Amino acid sequence: MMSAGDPKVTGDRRAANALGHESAKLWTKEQLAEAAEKKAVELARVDAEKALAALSAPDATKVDIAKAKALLNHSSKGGIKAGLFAPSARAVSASKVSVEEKIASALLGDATDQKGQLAKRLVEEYMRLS
Amino acid sequence: MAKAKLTKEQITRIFEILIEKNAPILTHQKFRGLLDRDQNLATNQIIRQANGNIAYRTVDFDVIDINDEEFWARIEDTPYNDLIEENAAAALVKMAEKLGVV
Repeated sequence: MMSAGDPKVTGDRRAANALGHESAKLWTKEQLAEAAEKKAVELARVDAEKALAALSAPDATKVDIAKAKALLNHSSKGGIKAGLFAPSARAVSASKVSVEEKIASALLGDATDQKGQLAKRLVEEYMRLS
Repeated sequence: MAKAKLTKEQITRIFEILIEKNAPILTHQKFRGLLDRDQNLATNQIIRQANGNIAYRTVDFDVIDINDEEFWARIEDTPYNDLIEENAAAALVKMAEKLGVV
């Protein structure tokens, strides 16, 4: 079986394409890496969106900040569950932390793709309001 | 899920907290690299506003019960003195321009 990393496939792609050979449709390593990168960025964006929605929701005082941070620090691809954000009133019912502090807290620590996306989302919201 | 509804003031406040806590994300490529030109300019604008707010908070105190010496000592003690002076100078120039003095 031919693979995308096979030099013959990548090297002879143009010829294969001209001949209508199936190897012309195989992705190169670069294309696979690019697709993986795109997917990771999109996942990070979706995670950031969920985090922001959860942290700034009207009942945000019920959101467990530790879970929000866990979501933003999550490193595995696609393994994030929205359930992590299920409002847990009992867990932090006495929380008096403001929405701003909660969101900021989720952005502290080492920079990650999710945190970058969340910060970007804040800037977009600021621009929308301007 | 409820849609996020933040005000500009809240977003600025978030940046203030991040600046005060030296959050690496503000200057990190994982954030800045995602922004286009306009978004980068907007980010700089938010950070300028946040820095100004932080600076003014350090000199926001009751002046009724303190004497002149204490007042100037507190003003000079702020680590944001330069920023406050620059902002004050810029505000004065703007006002002078508005009044047609310069």
